[in-house]
Amino acid sequence: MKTRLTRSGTPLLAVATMVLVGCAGAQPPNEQMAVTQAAVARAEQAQAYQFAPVAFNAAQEKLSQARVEMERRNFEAARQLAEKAEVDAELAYFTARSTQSQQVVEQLRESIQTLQRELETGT
Amino acid sequence: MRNVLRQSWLLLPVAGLLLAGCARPENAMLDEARAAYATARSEPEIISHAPMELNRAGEALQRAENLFERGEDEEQVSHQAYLALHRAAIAREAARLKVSQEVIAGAEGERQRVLLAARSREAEQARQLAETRRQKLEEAQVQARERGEAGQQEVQALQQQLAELQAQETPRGLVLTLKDIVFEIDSSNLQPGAGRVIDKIAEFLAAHPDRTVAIEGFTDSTGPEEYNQRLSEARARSVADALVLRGIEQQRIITRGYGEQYPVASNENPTGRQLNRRVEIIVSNGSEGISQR
Repeated sequence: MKTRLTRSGTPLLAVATMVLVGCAGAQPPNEQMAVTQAAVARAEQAQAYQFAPVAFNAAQEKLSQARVEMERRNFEAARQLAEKAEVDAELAYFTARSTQSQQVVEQLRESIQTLQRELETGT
Repeated sequence: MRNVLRQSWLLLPVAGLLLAGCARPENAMLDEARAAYATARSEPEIISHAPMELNRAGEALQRAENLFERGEDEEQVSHQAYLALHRAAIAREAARLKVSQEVIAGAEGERQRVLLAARSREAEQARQLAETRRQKLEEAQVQARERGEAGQQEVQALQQQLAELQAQETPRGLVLTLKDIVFEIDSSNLQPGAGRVIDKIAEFLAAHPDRTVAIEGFTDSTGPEEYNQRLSEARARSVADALVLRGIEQQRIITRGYGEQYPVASNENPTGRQLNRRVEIIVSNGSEGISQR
């Protein structure tokens, strides 16, 4: 942002103005918001609310905060929150899936053991 | 010496950087991200199973490091460090997922193997059971056939013997009639020629141990009734004794004398009287007893 401003040759005044208006000049992080929403939806589909509640709740909370910042046109804050929410959601997604996968592994091991026992005893 | 000097010149900027580094305030989030990434990178499981995710964590950390190097404000650095930290955790979970998916695939194979073993064992057991049943059935069929053949032979033998003895089938059983001529006149003694007939009956009874026999004596109407009664009883007993002598158990034999009763022909002529003087041997049908006259 700074480079752009200096390159544009705008004098200090302009910089001051930008700072005063906050980040109003930044582009709304629409793409990031979409990416984050998709990540949260994916985590939800993987039942992350059940298997990775901490990360999933963090993702949801940051996403809604990001929306609030978008409303307030605090785009930089919104972008950061959305980025954080994205990694929270992804972590929630992978944690949920790996946990469920682990459970399947356990069940399989048990069923194999049961089968083997049955085979050994011939029942 | 000059070399050393030249090298020490080079060292100066390094020292300067180090000083500058020390001067910069530490960022806790960045430290955490560095540690997390370093750990993730040292785990072969993550390197092999989540290389892409690990790469993204590395890139995120690099961005955080760059911001930190440039002395960007702490919030920016922390933000990137937060992303890097989470990317490292994501790499770990992604690797765990991949590993367990591999285990599942392997375990599924293992389960299939065990199931297959179980099934083939069951199949083998079922096959053996079927084989055993088949064998038993065959044995039973063979036995039934043998029994059937034996039964048939028995029937044939019986029929032959009966034909020889001129037996008659009656509701009371098979009735063989020993004619007058097998006894001495006015005596209960059997004629020597009677032995052959008695042998046949004894043979038959020995072959059919479930059958019992009733021996009934009869006379014609000549002579005193009482005498005829005793004669009929004595003749019946005489035949019974002959059977017992040939090994037939006493308890299978019942004897009765009916005297002049139940004539089978007229007592008015010699031919009829001869027919009336007789001993009837009744062989039971199977194991059931013989009804009285």
